[in-house]
Amino acid sequence: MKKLSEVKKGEKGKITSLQGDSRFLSRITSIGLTVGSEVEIMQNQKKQPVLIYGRDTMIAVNRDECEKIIMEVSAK
Amino acid sequence: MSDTTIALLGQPNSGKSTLFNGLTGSRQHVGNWPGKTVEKKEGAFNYDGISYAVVDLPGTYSLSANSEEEVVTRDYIASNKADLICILADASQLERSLFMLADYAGINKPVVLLLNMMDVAIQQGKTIDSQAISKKLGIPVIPITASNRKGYDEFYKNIEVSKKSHSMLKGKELADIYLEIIGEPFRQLLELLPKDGVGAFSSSWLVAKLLEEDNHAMQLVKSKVDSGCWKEIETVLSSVKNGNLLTADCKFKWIEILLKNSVKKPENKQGKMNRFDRIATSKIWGKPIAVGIIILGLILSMVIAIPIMGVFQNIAQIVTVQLSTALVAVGVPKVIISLLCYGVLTAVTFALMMVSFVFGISLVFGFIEEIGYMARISYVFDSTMSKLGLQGKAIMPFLVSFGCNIGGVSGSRVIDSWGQRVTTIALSWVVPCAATWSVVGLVSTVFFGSQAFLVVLSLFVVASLHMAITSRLFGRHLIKESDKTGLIMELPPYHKPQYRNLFRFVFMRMGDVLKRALKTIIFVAVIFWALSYTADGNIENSVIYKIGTIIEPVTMWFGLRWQTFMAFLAAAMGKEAALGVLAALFNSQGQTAGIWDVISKQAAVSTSGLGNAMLTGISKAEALAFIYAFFFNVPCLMALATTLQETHSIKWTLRIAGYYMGVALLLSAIAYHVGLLIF
Repeated sequence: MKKLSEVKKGEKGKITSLQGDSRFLSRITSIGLTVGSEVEIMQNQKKQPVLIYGRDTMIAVNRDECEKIIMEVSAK
Repeated sequence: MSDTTIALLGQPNSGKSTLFNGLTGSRQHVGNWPGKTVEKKEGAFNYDGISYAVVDLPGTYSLSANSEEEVVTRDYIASNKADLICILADASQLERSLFMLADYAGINKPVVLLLNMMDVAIQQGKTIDSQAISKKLGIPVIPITASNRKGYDEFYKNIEVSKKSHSMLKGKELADIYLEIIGEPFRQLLELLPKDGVGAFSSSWLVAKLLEEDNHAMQLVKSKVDSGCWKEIETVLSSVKNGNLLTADCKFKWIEILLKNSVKKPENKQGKMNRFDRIATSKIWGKPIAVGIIILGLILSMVIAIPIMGVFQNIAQIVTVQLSTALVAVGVPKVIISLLCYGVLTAVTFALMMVSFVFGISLVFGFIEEIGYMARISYVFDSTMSKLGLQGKAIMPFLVSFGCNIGGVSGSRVIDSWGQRVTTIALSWVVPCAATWSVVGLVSTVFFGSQAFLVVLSLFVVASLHMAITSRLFGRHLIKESDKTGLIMELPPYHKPQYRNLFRFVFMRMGDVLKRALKTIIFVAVIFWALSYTADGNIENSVIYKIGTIIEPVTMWFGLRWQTFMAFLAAAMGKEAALGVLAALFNSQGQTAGIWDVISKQAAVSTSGLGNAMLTGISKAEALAFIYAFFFNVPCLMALATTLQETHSIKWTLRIAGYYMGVALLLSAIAYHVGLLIF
């Protein structure tokens, strides 16, 4: 289990938990990231939003928000 | 009046704007939703003898009430204003983009589903059985490629049929999934709510929104049930945690079932990210590439604009000469000739030049946006720009403004949120354009010699402070809390540019831009012309001279003599004009032109003559005051007209202009008094 902000580029896995207020949850799920979603990390560099690929889409998520997304890394 | 009103609803990047532009062409009206900082786009088209009104609803990811855009969208849908709601989904990423449809299911308003970007989906080897999907949903499903207007026929034909068939998305299947996954709390809530829901919202839709802690839905339900019932509802709600996650699960499950057997897609073999994108989003190269592309874009816009500007200028010169000789010949009074030839014609030339530049910028940056690169700029500059409370894209208008503020303001169009756009424009005015430097350079070297760089340095420091303060002042009113949540954004795949569409749209826009620019520019220019008009060419006989000399005791608070104050005012018309006005007012040698002459013709200025004349005319502290007043002034009349165009708000345009003039005078006062201490 890792926070999204700690997952390295190229790693894949499943989102296991999303935390935060309802506004954040509504926003993140409506763009397609839900518990159980398979995602791959495309870029994760300091001071830049994290780039992830999920549901056929590339999505940029701010670093602060990435702290609220927990995932289980399954493969490199 | 239109026979039928349709509303377009869809997530960002679903191609909603492309379809809207494709349908309505130049028949568009852009304004704001009443009392909101959200842009409202309306348009019209005719097909088969029926007139249609089209409303482009704000691009939102869902129908929850978390942002002003979403509230506007939801209220509009619930109202009876639209005959038909068209929900757009991106066929190339159907599962994700159907979320909007899932969020809509349970609202009892006639709806059709448009599967956009079918061309891309087919390219990816996907097959989508839209008829099967239509059957399952019970509403029409129309495949479409919004970027290809030739393929709109099926859409046109279906729209009237759909309106008549009045088919709605009942959301029964979705409600069943809610019952299955959420279980007892969902069933209890369903029983507590009015059986037929409230207005257009069905009870199961409302329950889902209650579980999502949607404030507006709560208020609505609370007003419809008695207090005992509301208490019970609250008790059930408190037993459910993370309702958003549950309902989102259900919605995606519903989508999954819907698409099962209707969509076939090959294994995604091609890389998710191409090599260019890897570099374009990297930490080291991302920003330099973005800056490089923006600068290249600026140069390219100028390459497009400058020849057109040149043509207009030449034509204007010829027309002015011809017209004035003709008018003199028929005995028209001198003042009328001056008004027509110098006042109005100058304004027309200004407007045409402005439009040329807006044309170049719209074309080049429209292209960058359309191929999908603008989203990358937003990504790499997000953390930098968020310090000002802005999107990463705001870097573009700022950089372009170093070349020309008109371009910067016009480029702010790529910022989709209206409040963010107005704030970006307000900030981009601080950025000194190329013309600013010619004046600042001259005056500061004349007065401060080798120490001129200190003056320039101080300008940069103050400009940064100005930006920081301005972003807070304007952002407080314009940027809603909901916009401030950190970036969660889709980076759309790169698209092939649709040149025809781009050209068509930009061309059609220019007519509107010109019309509005003419109104604003002629209005202001004629006022200024009237103030500076003299029958004999002697400045001392103009109204502006009289006012200027009378209020000099006041302007001296800011360290501005009447000459420099006039130059300050003239600079608000065009920065280049300031030098000419100074030359005229300080009676520098070889300079006989009046104020308006230098504005309209941008008369050549003898810089050495001006330098000497100014040195004997004003002190160092006064020169410093002028540099500050000039630097922080309104960029130019054309930038003002462009601001009105892009904000479509007279109120905010005047606010920004007033703010700039006020702050410029304040800063010049400070500079003057600091200068008095130093020199």
